[in-house]
Amino acid sequence: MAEWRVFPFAHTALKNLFSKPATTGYPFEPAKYPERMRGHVQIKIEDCISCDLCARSCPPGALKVDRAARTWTINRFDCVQCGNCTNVCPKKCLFIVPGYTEPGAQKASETFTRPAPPEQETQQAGGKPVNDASKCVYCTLCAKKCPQDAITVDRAAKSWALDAEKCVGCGICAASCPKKCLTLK
Amino acid sequence: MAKRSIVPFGPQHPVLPEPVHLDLVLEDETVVEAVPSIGFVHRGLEKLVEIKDFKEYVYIAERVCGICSFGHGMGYCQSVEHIMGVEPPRRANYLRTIWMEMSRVHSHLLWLGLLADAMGFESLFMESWRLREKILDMFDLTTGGRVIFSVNCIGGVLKDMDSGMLKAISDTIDEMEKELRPIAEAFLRDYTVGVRLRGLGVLKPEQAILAGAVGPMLRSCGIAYDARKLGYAAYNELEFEPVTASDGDSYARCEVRIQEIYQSFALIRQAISKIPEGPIRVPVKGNPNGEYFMRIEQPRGEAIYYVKANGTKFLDRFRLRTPTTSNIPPMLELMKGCQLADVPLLILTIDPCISCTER
Amino acid sequence: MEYLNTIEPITMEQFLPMVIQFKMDGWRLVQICACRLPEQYELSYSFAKGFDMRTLRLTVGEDEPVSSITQVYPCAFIQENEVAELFGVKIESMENDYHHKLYRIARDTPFKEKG
Repeated sequence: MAEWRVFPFAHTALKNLFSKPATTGYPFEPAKYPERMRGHVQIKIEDCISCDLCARSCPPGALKVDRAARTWTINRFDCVQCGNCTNVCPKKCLFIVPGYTEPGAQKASETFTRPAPPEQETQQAGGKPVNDASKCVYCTLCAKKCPQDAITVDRAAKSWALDAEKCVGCGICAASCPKKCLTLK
Repeated sequence: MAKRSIVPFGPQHPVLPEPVHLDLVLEDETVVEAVPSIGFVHRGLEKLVEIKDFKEYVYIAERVCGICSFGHGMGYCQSVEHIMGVEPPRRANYLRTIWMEMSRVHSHLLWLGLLADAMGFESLFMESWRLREKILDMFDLTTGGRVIFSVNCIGGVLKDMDSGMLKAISDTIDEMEKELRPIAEAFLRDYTVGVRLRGLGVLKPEQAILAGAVGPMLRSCGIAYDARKLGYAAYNELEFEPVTASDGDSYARCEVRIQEIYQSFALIRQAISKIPEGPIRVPVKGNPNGEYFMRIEQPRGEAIYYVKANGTKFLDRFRLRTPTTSNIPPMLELMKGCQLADVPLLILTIDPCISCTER
Repeated sequence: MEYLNTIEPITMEQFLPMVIQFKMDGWRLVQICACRLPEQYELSYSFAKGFDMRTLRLTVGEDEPVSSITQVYPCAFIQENEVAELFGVKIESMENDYHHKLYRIARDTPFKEKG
């Protein structure tokens, strides 16, 4: 049997009576957020290539990407701040930053439009990769880097195949190719 | 025989914010039988696995519950990793262990607060929750979320902790351990609290086994079963013994949970001192094919994660048996013969999480 | 530290005797899970003793009745009701049968069809 103590809580209660409050006066004092706080998603729209990967892997379906209109739309009221889009983004142009979404009477979405391409666009991204078999050394680097597992390379059979349905045209394969034999068309 | 009457209890009751309904059959003030009725918050999250990519489902799995969210994400990831034969890096295992133990501290402190609140000990309730706030701040610092962490992924974890963060955690738990002592003293030594908890709702060991009790409920009757001893994540490299008590009453359940907070502090310290350097995740290619039952120890008890995969990116079945599902039948056992006024406290001592149970 | 975690396919005749044997040996019921197969169900009953866990795997036809284990393990009633309600598995002579009223859901047997 444990022994009883007289008023074991009295000390704490008295101490609390004469000490500073544990809470902060939030609306009057600014709240402090740590750096990693997941508040809302931000996009660096100039780097976006409209690959659609973020929208496809968004668990609540809060994102919409329109490739033709070059827009990226987020419904901030559906977003759950899981950060999956920032993890899958091949261009790393999405960030999750502190600061909560402002409350609103209606659900509204926010649209970002990519700036128009320069006149002589150097097709860095947007098309599907095509392999120049004469230069390819079958190093499999492109297959390893592909975020969608769309490229199959067989070193023994000297074959390079693209699953066009899976490919989102992010251009990572072309950028990582040591022989520069991949072009996006 | 005294006249019998039926008193409805819940679904909304001041003692807990979650919807559970009980029909209490009373003889005078004594409960003869309790018939539970759940199902107010069924969301069908298990079904979502059929239309969501298995890598995306991690985020849904952890949203099953707001308190054990880290464990749900981890349990799901570990079962898929087991099927795919992926071994997460050692550092990821240690990070998972640290976060898991922090979740346990936060869950148990939440429960202690609720228990104090159920007894009407308001200042003790505030004190417990003030302490809990410190561990939530540590979660905020390391993961960016207070209750939903989104740090698990198949093959490891998404965020690393630098030495500054590990230092901050170990400083915080040192401070918390000091501040927990007077709170624990009030729960375990205060006469009024003792009178309220001792001898209330005694569960015998054989009864507990037959009714399928898990977690602190089972350990409070002297059975040293703790699924952490199975050695998942980094638990096989840490030293600890399951906390048990012998009485099986509400006081014993409270005692087990308080001792487990101290044990979690010790485990976090061990993990911080042993954490190896290295990568935090391994790349995962391909789709799972197979099935596995994963057991992990959540703050509320053993949880089962069953994953059945068919080689595509959509799983066939994901089943989550939460600790509360198992703890409801023993809770009904406890209620037979108790007083009506003790019912709220008895419901609370199993640490129920109804939205977990219904998924 | 390897503990038992096996899945054992069994037939309907073996099922109840094995469950009774488990109870006599002091195993506890861990979980009951149903899974949909084409025109069939796969039922898994897990039992544990200490750190060992064994799962009995029963495959039943869509309309084939399964006897309840609530007579042996009364605590099985929540999970058996869940299986009956979400999947439409025909479980017979259940104690505490909720008759598809455990969950307040709009559709009958929502887990029975895919998608």
